[in-house]
Amino acid sequence: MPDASGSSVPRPGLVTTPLTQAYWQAASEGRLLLQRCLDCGQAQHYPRSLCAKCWSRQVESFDGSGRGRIVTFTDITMPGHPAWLEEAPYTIAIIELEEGPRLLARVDPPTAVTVGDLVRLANPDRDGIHRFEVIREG
Amino acid sequence: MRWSDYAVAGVAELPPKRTSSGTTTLELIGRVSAMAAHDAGIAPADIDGLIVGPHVGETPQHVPATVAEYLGLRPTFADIVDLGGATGTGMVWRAAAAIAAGQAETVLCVLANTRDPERSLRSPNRNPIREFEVPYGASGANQAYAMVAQRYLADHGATAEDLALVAVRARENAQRNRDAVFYGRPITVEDVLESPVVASPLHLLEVVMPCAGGAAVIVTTAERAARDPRASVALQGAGEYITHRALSHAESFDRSPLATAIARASEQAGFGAADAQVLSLYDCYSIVVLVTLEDAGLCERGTAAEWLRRNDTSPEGNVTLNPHGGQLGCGQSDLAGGMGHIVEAVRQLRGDAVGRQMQGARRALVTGNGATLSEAVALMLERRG
Repeated sequence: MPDASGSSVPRPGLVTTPLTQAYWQAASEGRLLLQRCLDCGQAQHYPRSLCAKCWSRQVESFDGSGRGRIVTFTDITMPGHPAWLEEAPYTIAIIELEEGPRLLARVDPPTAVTVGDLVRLANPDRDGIHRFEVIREG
Repeated sequence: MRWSDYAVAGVAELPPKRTSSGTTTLELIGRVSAMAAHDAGIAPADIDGLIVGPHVGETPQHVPATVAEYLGLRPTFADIVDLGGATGTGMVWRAAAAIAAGQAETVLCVLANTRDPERSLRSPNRNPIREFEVPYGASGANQAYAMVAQRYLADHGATAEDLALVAVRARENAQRNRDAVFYGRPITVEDVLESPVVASPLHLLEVVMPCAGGAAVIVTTAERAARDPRASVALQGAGEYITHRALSHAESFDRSPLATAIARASEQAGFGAADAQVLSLYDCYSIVVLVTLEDAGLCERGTAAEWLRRNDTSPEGNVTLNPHGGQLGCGQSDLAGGMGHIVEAVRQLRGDAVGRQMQGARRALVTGNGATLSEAVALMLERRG
């Protein structure tokens, strides 16, 4: 049965746990939630039950700036899962955020980025995932 | 414990096949285990240790017991290794460690997989990579290795031709291996560059071909292995390093965990990659070979393609790289593909690599790589006698 994207193969949708529900709620509102350790100050993505650096359990969520730099990327022409075939080509990238953590996300428009580009969080899409756009100087 | 007190007594590999309908993983494990025992000159009753992989097709749980029962073994030591493409290399040193601990004397390490394209398996993951990456259209390994390659090209000014050369060399060596899926099918750099881009910058011919197959390695004491009239192959060093699961959490984009694993193995062995005549390097994608050559310290960062152009990597060269054709030339039988690098290194060091024997091979570096340059294991092997 076709899903919202028009593909005949259903997409693996968003999954959440009680700990990560707030993260995905924020994503749907165009906010990127990070965690900060109250003991050592380390910022991390994705949300965890402890600080992955010092193992303190005193971690709190905060709104990230949504700005970062492209560490690397790929323009996907043959998706690893058939549900994304009709959307190809599209660009995924690993982004290093100003606060330090890295995450994988989409960059729009597709096939228009290079390593080192500055990016910022774009307006949320209906699919609830994080999409970034390149900041063009001037 | 001294690694050199332990040796690889027997090896076997099933020729990779594109499909395997009608057979089971246990059947393949049975066949390849018997071949390895025959190669070692060891009776099943002498095998008292068993190490298997994490997903034997028919058996998600109780895997060692199921395999032991099928093979008629009653091991005093059994375990699972789950390190992706580094599983085979990871098994070898664990087998030696189990023997050193007195838990077994002769350990069978075995991996096999069936492949039926009609029944493609989708991972039932409910882990962070499923939650935070898959919804972006980032499924499978191609996209992740493409990002490793993209960064390498950006950092070093390397070219698509540099990446393509790795695939061409693998196919060249595969022409001496009748068991390779690409036997009889050499390729040129142009062929690689004209194949479709799967995920930029990687072309289809820079990606391994998934296959069915199996491989087995028997590890025992050096003393027992010395009863074999042939030369035996001793373990001299083993290094392991696991740094992340998803590439977004990589420790570094300038080096891979193989650098640490190889350095640890070299330190234990007292010799390094430059002292090995056989480089049996895990090669699921073109980019992995370039990164590994640099991680091994064989050349400066960004110069691995130059190193390849300088060196004849066939069995006639001073140093041979994946003389069986590697996984890029042979096909990748899931986790057994990684174990194939051990099988080939052992054959080369024993001097019985029919049709592709390198003369005077005494030392080998074998690498394993799981997930996306995440799980790294390196072994140093040396011929005795």
